[in-house]
Amino acid sequence: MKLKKLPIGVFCINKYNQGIYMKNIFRIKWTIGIVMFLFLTSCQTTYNVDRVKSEDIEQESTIIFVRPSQFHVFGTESLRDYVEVVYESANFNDTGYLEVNVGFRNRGGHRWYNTTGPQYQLMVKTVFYEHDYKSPSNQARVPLYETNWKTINLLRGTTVPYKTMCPNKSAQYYQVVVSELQL
Amino acid sequence: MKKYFNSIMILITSALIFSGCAATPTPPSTSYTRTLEPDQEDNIGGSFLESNDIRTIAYEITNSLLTTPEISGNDDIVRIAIAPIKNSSRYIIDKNIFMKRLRIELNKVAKGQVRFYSQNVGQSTRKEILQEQDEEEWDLLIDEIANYIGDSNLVKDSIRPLKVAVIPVKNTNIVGLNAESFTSLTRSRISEKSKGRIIFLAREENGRVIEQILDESDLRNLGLVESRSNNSISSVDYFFGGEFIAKSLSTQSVIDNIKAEVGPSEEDPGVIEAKGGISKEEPNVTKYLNVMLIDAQTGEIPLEKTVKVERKMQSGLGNASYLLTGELSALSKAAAGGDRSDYVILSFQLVEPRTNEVLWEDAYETKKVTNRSVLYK
Repeated sequence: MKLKKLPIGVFCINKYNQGIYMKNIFRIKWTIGIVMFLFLTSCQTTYNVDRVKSEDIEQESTIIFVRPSQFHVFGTESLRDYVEVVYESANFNDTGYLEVNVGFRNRGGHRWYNTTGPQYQLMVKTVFYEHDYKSPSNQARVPLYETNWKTINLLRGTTVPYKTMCPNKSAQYYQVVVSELQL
Repeated sequence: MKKYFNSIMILITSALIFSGCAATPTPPSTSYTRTLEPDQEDNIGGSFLESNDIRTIAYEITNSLLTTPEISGNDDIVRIAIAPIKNSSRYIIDKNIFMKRLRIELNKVAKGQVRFYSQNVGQSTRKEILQEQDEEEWDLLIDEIANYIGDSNLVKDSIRPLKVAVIPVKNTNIVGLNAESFTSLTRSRISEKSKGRIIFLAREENGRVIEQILDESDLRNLGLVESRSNNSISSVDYFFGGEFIAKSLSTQSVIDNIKAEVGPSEEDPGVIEAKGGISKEEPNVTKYLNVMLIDAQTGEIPLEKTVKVERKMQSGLGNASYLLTGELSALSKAAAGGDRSDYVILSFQLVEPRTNEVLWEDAYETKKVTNRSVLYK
């Protein structure tokens, strides 16, 4: 049965169509409810910021690569694919400071569609901690000392040494962060 | 109808939900300027040292310095004097920026183990502070002089009150102070302290006595007066005088600096104004005041007291254990069309000042090429 269409979108009220009318009202309310919910969430003054999950941090290595700025459905085009760590060592030197040595190498093209690979620059920084930053305690994740972002130039076939030290003798843990830091 | 409606609803809801993560948000901005991290590239060009290099230099050289035996093996505070970096590159830049960032980093991490001297900034204010502190002590100095004279046996054992004439203080040119006010204050305090045992002549009378002495001196020189004493004509027992003394091997005096400059007005830069003036620059030496009571009959000095009135403004560099300096060198290439290349090496040395030995040396080097040459300032 064809319903009479009213200008405001309300379906026809007909003594003979009570059932259909009730169903339409239900659908309209449902739609309004969802839309209102979506809109009202935007009207909040403040939001809670997501906290990093302890499980995620536990899985992080001492050398991590920051997610690149460009993300595609098929692959990330990340320079991470071209970086390999040749060596990593951390020890207390003669003066008692924690010293970190990492060797980065440009592995070049390693896929059938990319036979050469780029020569590129990366930014590397190290964050030192007094406590194990993988522990669930928030306090443990407060850095003791952070180096600046150092630019390293990765030529193919060359292992570039990255050496840093924490000038605070309380440092026990560290994490090296590698990024494509761009404008 | 129902099926069609449900499909539309699902599509609308999905579109609304996924629109939130569809694209990277563009941060809203009302400014033409962006704030960058000091380590970020600014994409302007140039092949010389950038802010990232300056920070890396500070971090790496700090680590290298802290591990030297001269610092790590020293339980005492290590005091370092900084000598400016020698710029041998083609770039005209603020070369102090390297030492400044390095000093900041060392001060931050060394936690008092390493100390530097303020060598450029705040010295005029420091001078004012020290001068004011010295002036605060003048009251104490005057008291010290008055007590010394008032409590002396010469004054205490005198049967009658001693008549004293004040003669001008010598060498006031090294301090540039109002010596007349200073002697007036001292005279008043001595008089108060001696409780009437010392009677000073009035100011005008002092002048008369001095004139008489000078006249008699002239007559003596001409051989017309043979008397050795002055009291026969001046009728005073003692002369109260003094002399400012500079602790220096060379002759010291207040220097008049004449300054004249023409340039934009500070209040209205559109107006060119000419300024000029004379400022007095006192010699930076420790200054003493030597006061004495001179016997009018014999010219002997029965009482004498020396007090320190102003200390030399020390730079403190004499206490430095080491000297930190460096040199900026570059090999620069330029081609037509703005292509530039620079190999830059910035070296640092820690020098033992007495032996002039280089105890430690480290360097930061980089090579950059650009097709957009820029002007560094």
